[in-house]
Amino acid sequence: MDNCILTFVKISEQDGKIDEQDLSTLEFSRRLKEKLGWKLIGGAIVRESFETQASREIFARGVDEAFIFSTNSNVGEGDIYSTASTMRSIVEDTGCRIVVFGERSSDTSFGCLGGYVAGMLGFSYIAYVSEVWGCEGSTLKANAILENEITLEAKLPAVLVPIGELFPPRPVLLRDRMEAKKKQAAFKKAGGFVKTIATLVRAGKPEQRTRGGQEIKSPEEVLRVAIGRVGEGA
Amino acid sequence: MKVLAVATGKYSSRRTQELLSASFAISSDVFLAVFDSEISGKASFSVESPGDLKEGWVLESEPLVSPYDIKEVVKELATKNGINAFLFNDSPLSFWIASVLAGELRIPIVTDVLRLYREGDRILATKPINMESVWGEYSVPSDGFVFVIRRGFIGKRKNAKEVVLSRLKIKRSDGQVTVLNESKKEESRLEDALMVIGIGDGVRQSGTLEAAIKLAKLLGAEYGCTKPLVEAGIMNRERMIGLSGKRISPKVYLALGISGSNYHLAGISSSEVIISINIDKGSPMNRQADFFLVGDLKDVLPKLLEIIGSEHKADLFSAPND
Repeated sequence: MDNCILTFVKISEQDGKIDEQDLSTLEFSRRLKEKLGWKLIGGAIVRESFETQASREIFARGVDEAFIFSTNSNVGEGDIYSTASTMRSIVEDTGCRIVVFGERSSDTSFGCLGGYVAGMLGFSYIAYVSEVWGCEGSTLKANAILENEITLEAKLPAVLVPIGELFPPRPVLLRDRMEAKKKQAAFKKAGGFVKTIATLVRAGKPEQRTRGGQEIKSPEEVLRVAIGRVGEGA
Repeated sequence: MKVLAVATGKYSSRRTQELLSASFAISSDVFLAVFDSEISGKASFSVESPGDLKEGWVLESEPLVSPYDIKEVVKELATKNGINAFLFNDSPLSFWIASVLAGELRIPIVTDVLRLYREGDRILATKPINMESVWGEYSVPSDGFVFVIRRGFIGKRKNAKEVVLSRLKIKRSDGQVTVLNESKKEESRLEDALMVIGIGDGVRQSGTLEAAIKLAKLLGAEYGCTKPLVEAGIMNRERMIGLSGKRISPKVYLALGISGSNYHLAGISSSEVIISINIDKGSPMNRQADFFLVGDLKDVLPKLLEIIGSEHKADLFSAPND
């Protein structure tokens, strides 16, 4: 496998821009590239009409190469298994020793795509990454935040999912955008998705409890309601 | 179909009952494994179960076990007992283990499950999708799946029975991922608190952060925050409430200067009562609240602190609440 970092980003199906949460995923990957001196590859599955725009968006954020997999299928139609199967093939094509996923953005809010791909490929998986210390030989050392902060050592290849809030994206300069226009991504037709094993059979409005939305007029009333409710059944 | 319910993170009796309710909604063959380093040293541990558990275990850990070590124990339990379905509770550690386990077994995974039922040889699971704006119902085959059950799962209430769990040791392995050390972080008990004060960007903008934290302390409440405060480095992620942060279900959630994004609302929707204080009457947070007060935090917070510190404070505890 190669000393490169493959980072997956979600591209909006509406406007071809990078999902806001994945801007942090890219920032994390960029810092990792700067720390390790490895090549950074951006990967995305997009609608055909957004191929060029997606590659420019990704290049403008400091990646060295971009792999754009275009499809006519609705990207959101896949389940975790089918999406992970497509991504697995991209990971195998690029051969990178580190793969980065966003926390929730790339998989219509399932929050588990990175782990699923790692499980499929037999890669190590570290979620909630707050810092990567470095790579030595065939291992990577990183911190992750669960209940407490833990320092882990993982065998490479590994899938990492950073804590987005810790990596606010740096601004994109006009110069970065101009440079991005000159770079050429590798385009590949992803075709349809692998058949899903979890099928979305219905979708509708959330069945949330209707709350009163009652206006109260004084701070005293706020405390009366709050303290009274906590006292109930205590 | 045999189901293994796996509870990780800080142990909560209510959360475990929700997890077990979800399990018994689709199977009568339910097993339970509980992992919480704080309870693993206790001599005896029991849980309240809404049904007859086949067997239950407390996973006893050595220091520095990794999520992979726990995953291996879960897999061993599954193999030994012929289990092919896994339900996890809603904790960061569960998300970690559940996703890798599902990928290794190449079985479907559905997270944030709010409703669950069986229809023939399919299991139907309802979860929020598209940034919580839609509820989607997923159908999976009953011969193997992983679900992560969201806090506040809507289950049928049954008479709970006390079940004593047996102990099972988790051995630290030199596996793929090894924990080298662990450092204690600032503790928050957001998930267990009866009252939570939510601190939003309006608090930062009005310069009332100190007063908001003081209010929480005086009320004996925990305080949490929205994502922008973590991104700005003002608060730790440990206190972040929302879709990828903590999901809470207190008796009272008092939202201070919170606009009410879908991201944040996903973390508080199981609160019993939501009270919002916001300068903008039409804010989504006010619309989603049970009660709201329109006001500038610069005026309202000092007033709240003054009332609590006054000799009339006792009146608040005896007065009718609505």
